[in-house]
Amino acid sequence: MMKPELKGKKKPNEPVGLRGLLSWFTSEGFLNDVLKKRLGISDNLINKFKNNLQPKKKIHLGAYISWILTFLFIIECLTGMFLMMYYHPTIAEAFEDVRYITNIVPYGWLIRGIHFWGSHLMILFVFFHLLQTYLKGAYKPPREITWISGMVLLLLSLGFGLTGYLLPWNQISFWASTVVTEVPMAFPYIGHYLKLIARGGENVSQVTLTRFFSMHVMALPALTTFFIVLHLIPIRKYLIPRDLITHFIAILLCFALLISLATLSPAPIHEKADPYHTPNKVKAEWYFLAAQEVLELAQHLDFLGGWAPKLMGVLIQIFVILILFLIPFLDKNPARNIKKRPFAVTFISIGYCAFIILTLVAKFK
Amino acid sequence: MTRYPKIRILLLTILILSFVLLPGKANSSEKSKSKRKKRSRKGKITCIICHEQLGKEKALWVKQWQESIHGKNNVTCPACHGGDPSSFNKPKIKGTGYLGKPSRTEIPEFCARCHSDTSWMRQYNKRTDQLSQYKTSKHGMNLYQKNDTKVAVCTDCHGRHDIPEVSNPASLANHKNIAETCSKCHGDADYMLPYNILTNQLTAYYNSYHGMIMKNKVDGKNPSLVPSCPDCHSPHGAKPPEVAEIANVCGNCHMQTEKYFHDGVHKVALDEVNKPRCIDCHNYHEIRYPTTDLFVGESMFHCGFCHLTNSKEYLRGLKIKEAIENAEREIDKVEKMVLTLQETPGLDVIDLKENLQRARRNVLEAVPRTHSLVEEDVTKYTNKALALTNEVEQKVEDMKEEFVTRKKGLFAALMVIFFLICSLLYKRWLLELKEEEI
Repeated sequence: MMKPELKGKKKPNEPVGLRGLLSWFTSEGFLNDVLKKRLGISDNLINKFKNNLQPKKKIHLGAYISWILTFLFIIECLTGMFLMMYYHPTIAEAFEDVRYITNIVPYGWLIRGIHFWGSHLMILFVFFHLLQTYLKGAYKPPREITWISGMVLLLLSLGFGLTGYLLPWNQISFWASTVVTEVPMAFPYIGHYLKLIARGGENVSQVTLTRFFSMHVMALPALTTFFIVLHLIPIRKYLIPRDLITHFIAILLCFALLISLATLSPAPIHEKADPYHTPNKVKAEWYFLAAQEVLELAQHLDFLGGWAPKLMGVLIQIFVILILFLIPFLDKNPARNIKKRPFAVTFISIGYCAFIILTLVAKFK
Repeated sequence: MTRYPKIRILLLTILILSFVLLPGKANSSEKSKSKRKKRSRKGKITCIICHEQLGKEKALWVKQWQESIHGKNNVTCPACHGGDPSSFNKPKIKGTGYLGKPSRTEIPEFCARCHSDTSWMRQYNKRTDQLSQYKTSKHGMNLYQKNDTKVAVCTDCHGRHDIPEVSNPASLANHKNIAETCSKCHGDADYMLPYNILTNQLTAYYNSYHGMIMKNKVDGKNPSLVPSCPDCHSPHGAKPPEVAEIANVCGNCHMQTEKYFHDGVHKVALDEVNKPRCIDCHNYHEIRYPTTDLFVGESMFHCGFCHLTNSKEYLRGLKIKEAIENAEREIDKVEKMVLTLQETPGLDVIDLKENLQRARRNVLEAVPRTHSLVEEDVTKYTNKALALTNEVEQKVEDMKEEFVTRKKGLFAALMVIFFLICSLLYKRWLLELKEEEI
């Protein structure tokens, strides 16, 4: 029995067939049949995208850095996912797994190298982004939330570096993590408990490795994603960047730099962690060197006696971070032009110079 | 009864207290016992009281005894010298068993009263065969048979009143000091003149590989594990090893080497003509680190000293030498390659290093087998070492090649990226032109 056709009901689309499928690969077909008809993207958005393809002469550096950072975060997630396919966070297997990834897994060395250098570049660009945003005065109202979420993202990036550093379970990472997790001991009374929380015990052990691994692959990525969204909500109208082509070129250049570093200077392997053999000099990664140096310099305050020197070293750093967080509220100068903000510019210049000098001193002494 | 309740209560209390305090009384009687003991010790201390007052050397004996192993274990004066030290009056009188200062001939027996007494020494878990061993030694035989009092007796090596435990680094008989102690007599040419024996043993020993380790001149070697005089000559039964004993003496430590020596043709010769002994190739006292150079040359300790240089045996030695040297050379060469490769970060050379260590262990296995003088026994291990080394060398080449391939791959990827960037720049330029036209 034939089904009666209903009057007024919209007629379903005719199947396009293979010829129709081929037409999707033309610019006209892709625009009309795929984007507009099937994905339902509005003309307005498409026009904006097209408009953003147009080259713009005045694009500030910060726009590129922010997109490079987004790109690096995605790269870190992807390469991290591949590494997790072979990595087991146990003290018996971790080091051997890293060796397996590097030596046996096809292109494992490249994936690991990209993940390794990606993390360094990410932290480097975060520092650049902070400086550029500050100089541009982009933290001023109504961008306070963006600035604060950006500061949180900076700390999260450092957290990625800290937790990821232990995962290969080699001598350098083990002892550097031992030194870093000793820092909370600067706090009187609660220091020991903070250390226990960080390590999961008195010493860096299997519990610490599991703890750091779960932080590195679960907590930190989730938090970072959340804060990236929070960071971008106030500037969502710039989500499709102006001058798309130039942005894409910048990302390609970053990718070229990444694979060059991963190939020419592969991620090191070192020796397996040995809790009974302390290396002569334990140094943290470059982004923690300044902090390490501040702690060492604070030892000269020994005339304060007891736990005060160590505590001062930690408090100074917490104070600097706190000041950075509160910059949008402390700086009441409405001007954004750096020429009209001499005090603010001097403050950040001194801060960055101190950071670089302390890092270099710690690196080469 | 009720007239004196207070007295009754008092009496009852005394009775109860006497019961309660009875054990206390018993304790106090024990205390008095130990006091008596102490007094008897105090009696022993009468020696000390006088000797301390006498001053100089006699007071020094007391001090030395107090710091000695005997003093620490409460082995007091009468234990060695006899007598009744509980009295100040006449401690040396006959009938108290006073022995006084023993003569040199008496000393071994004097010490052996305790040190050969198994029931007494059991508590200290010490050996008790010193005297019987001493009697078989050159020292003991000269002392008892020739009445030669110049020979060493217990006190010469262990001290008199200042006798630390042998494990104490301050002891003359400690492993680190014993060579010097022996040399006090054996290094004295005048003293040794009547015996017609060499006096350069200590210098020779310190020039030897054993002595260099003892002097901490060889990295990674433990001085407490190398032999000193008593390890070859026996501590108490000291005398030079006989011809037939030498291989056994050396074999006490060099067990593998001894085994292969016994399997080899040299053992047959040793049984028949008393040669070659270990010392014929390696010298004695001045035992240098053996190298494959011993296989070449006609000088003393070298193969050519006994064998004709065109003989079958000499040529076999050369082949063994070549096998070992070739393996060592190859390992050294490849090790340098690995160390160079290691300088590139990220290149994993852990397995390569482990394989080289295995190769070295195989060479170490081959070296004692040279004593069997069977070429195949040696080459079996040197070939294993060579195979491992070649494997490592191949891996090094592969890694180098792979690194070059990676660079080529990088170049290709960079070219693609460059092409993409050029295309994008061209597109951008086109868009700019279009915009200008508009």
